[in-house]
Amino acid sequence: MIDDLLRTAVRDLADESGTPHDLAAAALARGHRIRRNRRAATAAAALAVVLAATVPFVIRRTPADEPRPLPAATVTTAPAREFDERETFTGPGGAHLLAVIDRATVRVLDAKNGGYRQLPTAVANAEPSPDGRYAAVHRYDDTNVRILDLTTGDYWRPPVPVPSFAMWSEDGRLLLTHDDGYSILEPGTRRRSTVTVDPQQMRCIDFCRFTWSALDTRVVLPQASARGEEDARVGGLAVFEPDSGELLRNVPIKGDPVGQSSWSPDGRRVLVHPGVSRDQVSIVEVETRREVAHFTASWSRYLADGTVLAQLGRVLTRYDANGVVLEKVAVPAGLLGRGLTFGS
Amino acid sequence: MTQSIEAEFTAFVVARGPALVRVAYALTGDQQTAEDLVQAALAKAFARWSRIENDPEPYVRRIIYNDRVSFWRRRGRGRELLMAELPEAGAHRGHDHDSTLRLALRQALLSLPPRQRAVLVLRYLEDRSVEETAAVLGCRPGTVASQSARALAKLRDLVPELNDATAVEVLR
Repeated sequence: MIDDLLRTAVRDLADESGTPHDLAAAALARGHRIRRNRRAATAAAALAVVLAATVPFVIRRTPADEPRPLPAATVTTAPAREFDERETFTGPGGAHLLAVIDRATVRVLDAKNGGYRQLPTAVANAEPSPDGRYAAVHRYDDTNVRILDLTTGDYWRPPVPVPSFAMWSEDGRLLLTHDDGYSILEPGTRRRSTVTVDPQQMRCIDFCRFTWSALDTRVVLPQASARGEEDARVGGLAVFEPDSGELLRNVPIKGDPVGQSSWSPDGRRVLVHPGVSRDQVSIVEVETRREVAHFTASWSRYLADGTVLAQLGRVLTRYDANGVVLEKVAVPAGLLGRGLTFGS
Repeated sequence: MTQSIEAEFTAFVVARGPALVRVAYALTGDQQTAEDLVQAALAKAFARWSRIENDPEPYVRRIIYNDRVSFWRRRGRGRELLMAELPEAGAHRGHDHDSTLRLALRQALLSLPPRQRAVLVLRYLEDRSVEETAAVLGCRPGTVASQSARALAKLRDLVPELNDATAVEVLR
């Protein structure tokens, strides 16, 4: 009977769909665009092969360029520096822009030339490692992850379960969430381990997403305060031993770590979404669980110097450890509306 | 040559577009999102039409499902549709009760994570086997089974009347 009810409900839902308008014309226009981009990408890839050398590169930060903190009351938004895809773009705090993603293209920082190169149009998304050496790549025609070495061009598909999230540690280990647990991958050695987590420990809200803990020593999974409640919130963070998947403890931090580089470099603070809204961010002191500051951002992350970089609309903002605004910089026109990934 | 490909592609979209949007709607619960999902999949299909023209529909369907279930390729596009307020369980049994139950179930379906909902759509709308569902989603049959079980558990949490239905089923 429950099968019948479900079948009826799913079909009723599907029957609500209306007649599509101009589907063929719109798809043709997008299809032609993909073809044009593919031709351009093929040319760019050929150029990249020619330029590929064996000397590894290091993303340098230039402390002299870092702006001095300003009193919050006097912080105004500095005009954007022009984005030129032939040069490395540096955001507030000296953070290097590692990837630029829009609906049609994925561009990543070129390990050799300092500019940005477009990945093939079959690539839907790329998550660069914090040092820009590797990228976890997701193709439209494949559900699984692939690893691209941005210095050598090596491109391979690790034998891990299909992931729903990918997250790098600061030292370049890739944490992949899958349906039954997580995998950890070390691209340099191609070592990998896959851990199945006890389903009782996977009490997630909407979906499960494993993240790294402070100092990247453990794996963390936000736990729902109650199952099936419409207003369910994160009731704490389950902390796992990375290799075994053993539950070590529950930390009563009531928020979902924001993602890549959620924890301060000293491990004492963490950026979390305190509620269901993904644009509300709290800085929480781990030891006391106290909310130190609160701000609105579409994404946020810690930088290596312990400050926080965040974006809201057309402005990139850097905060100090207490959430005081240090600087604001306008997003260049060439990067507006695109998904931006900065390094640390 | 190009014109003939475009004509072939257009004929395919005219013939199969509504069916594809129907599936996408069941996955998304929103007409505009469904059309966007199908449009993106069709565009990718057009870009490689010469390789798939003999049987393009499986390719398009696979792209639709894969685009929908993958979180990290949808970065920045916002969260899933959140659960709307569930209607109160009706005091009356019979037709009204069935309608209320179906409405509650519809809302609960829309609150499921994309992968769980994709499994249910493949299984109950497209009548795919566990193995076929696994092949479309690029996972193991065991994962399909575990996702189905989690989806059912969440639906039971959200729609407690389903437990009554199951109880009746067990007694039969």
